[in-house]
Amino acid sequence: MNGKIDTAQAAMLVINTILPTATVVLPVIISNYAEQDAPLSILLSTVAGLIVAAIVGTAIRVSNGAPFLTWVGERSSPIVATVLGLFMLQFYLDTTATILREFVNFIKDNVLLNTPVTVLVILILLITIYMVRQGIESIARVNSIVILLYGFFAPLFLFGIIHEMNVHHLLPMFDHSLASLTLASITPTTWMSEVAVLLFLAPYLKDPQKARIAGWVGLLFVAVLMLFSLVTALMVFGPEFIKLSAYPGFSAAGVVHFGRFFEKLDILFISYWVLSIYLKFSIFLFVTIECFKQTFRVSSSRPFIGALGLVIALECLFNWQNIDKLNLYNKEGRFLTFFLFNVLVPLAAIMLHRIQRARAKRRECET
Amino acid sequence: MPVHSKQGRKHTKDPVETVIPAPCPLSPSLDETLQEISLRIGTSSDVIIRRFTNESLSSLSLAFIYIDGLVNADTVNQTVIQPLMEHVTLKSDAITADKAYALIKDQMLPIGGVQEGKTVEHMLSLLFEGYTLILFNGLTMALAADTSGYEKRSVNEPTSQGVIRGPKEGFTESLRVGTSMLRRRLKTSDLRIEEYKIGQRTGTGVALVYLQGIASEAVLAEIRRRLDGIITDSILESNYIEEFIQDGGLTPFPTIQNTERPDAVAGGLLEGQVGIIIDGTPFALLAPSTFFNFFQSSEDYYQRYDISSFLRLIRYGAFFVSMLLPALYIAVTTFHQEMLPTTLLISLAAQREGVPLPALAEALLMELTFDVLREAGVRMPRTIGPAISIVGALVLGQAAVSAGLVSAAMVIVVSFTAISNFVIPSLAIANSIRLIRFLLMLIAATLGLFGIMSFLMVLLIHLAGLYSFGVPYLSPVAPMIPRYLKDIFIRVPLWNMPMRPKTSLGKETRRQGPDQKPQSIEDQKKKAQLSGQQKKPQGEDQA
Repeated sequence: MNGKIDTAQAAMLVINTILPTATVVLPVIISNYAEQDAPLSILLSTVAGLIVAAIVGTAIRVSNGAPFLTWVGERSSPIVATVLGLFMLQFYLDTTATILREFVNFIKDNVLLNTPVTVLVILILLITIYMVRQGIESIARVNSIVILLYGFFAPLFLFGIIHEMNVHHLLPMFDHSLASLTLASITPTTWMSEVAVLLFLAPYLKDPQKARIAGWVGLLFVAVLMLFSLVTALMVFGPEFIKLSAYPGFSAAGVVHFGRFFEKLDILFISYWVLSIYLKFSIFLFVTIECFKQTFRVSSSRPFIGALGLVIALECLFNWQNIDKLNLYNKEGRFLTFFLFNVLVPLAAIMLHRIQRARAKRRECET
Repeated sequence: MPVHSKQGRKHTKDPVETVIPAPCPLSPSLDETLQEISLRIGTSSDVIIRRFTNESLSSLSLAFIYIDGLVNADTVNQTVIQPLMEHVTLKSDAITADKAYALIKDQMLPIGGVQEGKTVEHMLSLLFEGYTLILFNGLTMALAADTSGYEKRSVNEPTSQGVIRGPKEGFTESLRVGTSMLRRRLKTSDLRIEEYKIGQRTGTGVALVYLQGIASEAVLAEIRRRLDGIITDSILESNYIEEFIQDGGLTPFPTIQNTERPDAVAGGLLEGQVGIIIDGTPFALLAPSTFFNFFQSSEDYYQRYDISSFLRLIRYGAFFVSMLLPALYIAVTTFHQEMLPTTLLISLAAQREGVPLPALAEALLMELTFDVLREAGVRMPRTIGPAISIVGALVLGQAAVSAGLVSAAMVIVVSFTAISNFVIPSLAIANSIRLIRFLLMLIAATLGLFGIMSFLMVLLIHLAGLYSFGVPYLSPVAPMIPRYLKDIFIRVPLWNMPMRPKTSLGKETRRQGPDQKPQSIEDQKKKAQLSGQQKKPQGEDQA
């Protein structure tokens, strides 16, 4: 069922790999450091993200879309590939579990207040397992439909909120030091670095040489949509309220109204967000399974999807049940792990390729 | 269990047994052949066997066999029996079986369809199609004259797919009438009709119809493979074929269109689809069919593009209303009351105050009642039909509200849902969402809008993974192919669709010439002036 996806579909996958949790988690963290200058930190993190996308795209180009760990194993040794695979598997299991937790927390806080978390986790997991079993081609197709719906929801949001916006809330601009802006852009950078999922999607790309373009285009769209979400929330509430609100983007959606008849449409936007977070979770589950498949060199991953899903569910339920711990990880711990696996690992792969190529050239010259 | 006949052949009692018995050759003895045929078909009262013997020499012995009711008696008498009985040569002493066979075949049967056969199976299959068999003593060959002529329904207006503007004739149960209707519409040498016999007991004629060069060869090969693979004893309606060959066995969504309209099949063939016409049903099949094909109606092309586009958008809207409205009502009134404007909320609350049932039970009750009414409407004699609508509208609608069983808002929701369901041109997809609606209502009552969105995600991913004969079910939207979107959500003017708007096509993708946009006299003058100005300098250069 796993067919190939084209560059446009890959770019759209990048958008929903980053955006759904970024819109929920990031505004509070960024606003705490940068307040009304929050949009600048998004721009800074986008630049960093584009560099990560370039590194990841180059790694895919030098491996010509081969399965990443298999390629590493061929270039170094199978032991190195297996050890690296185990670490990356742990990283992706953790990341997927945190995504599931953020999803469940949001639903629990905003939509289904009385439903037990375990029920939500099992339900979401079952649906996502079904999605992953349908293959990345189907996920990419649904993802493109969901992305197209931005064309409906974004103008609806804007027209419904435009009379509540106050541009003075964005002033004074450039009021924060570079240090504050850098601190504010660290966490969004970790989100932008999630473009590294392309490493594991590479075998399914029709044209792996264009992975870098897919990453860049996806990240630019993410930046635009993040800016749209953050700037509208800032203009409606101002920087002080955003710091206090758990989900400022959706609080802004709650203000949307058309005349006196259509009011409190936040549930409409939440419903749309649910579609996109399902896609994010399914992309990460797919990547986790792909990582497992490459690490343990299994030909078919289908029997293991349920088992890995169970591990993720258990980690989500028992490891991340404390929301403060999750927030602390997002704020402080996340950057290190993401920098290690999303930046240093592909960078090391490129270095390995370059060194080997240089050696081969030297040998050619000698002979 | 295998049974051996006199000749030691092996044929099976179970018609679905995959072991195909060896064909039984005709015996040189007429008596033995007749005995074998009688053994096969038993002593049915409608099988007429008549012997013809040259008494003077007794060297020529013939037999006619036909089935009363499948043949036109006049044709049999005038074109087969009478010429044979009256021909002088056949009565002469010197005539042998060989000569008589050649004479009858070449000169004596004033009829178009004459076939030769050497096996009992072949002759029997012709017999069941209305042929009259002529068997000869001393020969291992026989003749069959096409004398078929049974009662057929005349061509009528399609009952399930009526239009205001457009052709009013529909297919009938006759396969030949169906193919002739297509021939009349597509007067091209590229129209191909391949016939199959499917069903070991019914021997149903199935015609695969396509336009050479326009239909995709890959799709054709796949349909042929699937048709060849059908081993069953009966095909009584096109749904039998549909279920045997359609993709995604467990999906609630149809991946093959069915239609009563020859113009719809002709339109489909012109866009690269393949038609399957089945003897015994007026419903033909069209494949490959994507999700969006089910929202297209023949009438879309018989009226202006602007109104067609508007109606198509209405149909998509009706699809979502039909699927989601009761579930949304349950979710909003149960979980998300804050979404409703205060006045509407108060009004709804006032209506529901005296209703003893929760929203889900109320909706299920009304939906099931409507489905019962709908089913009763189909089965009821036509004279009682109007009474059903009175019962439905007044007794179960007005009275249920007055009795406090359901709220007025719920009656409106269910009625609008039902009406929306009938807006969808394809009954197949309208029926599939009838079932999905119930599932959605249960989910909405349990998990609210979150549940509805989760279910929609499952539905979307399921649809994205579906294929119809190798064509993605959601194409050209997912995967997105912008150039094929001209006839999906809206219909652009015909002159703006020079290419066939389908994803699976053969070599001939262009269907009309360039610059087909109608031009006014002023436009033509301007164009002539422009071309004159462009030509002038060239002429000067040449000079």
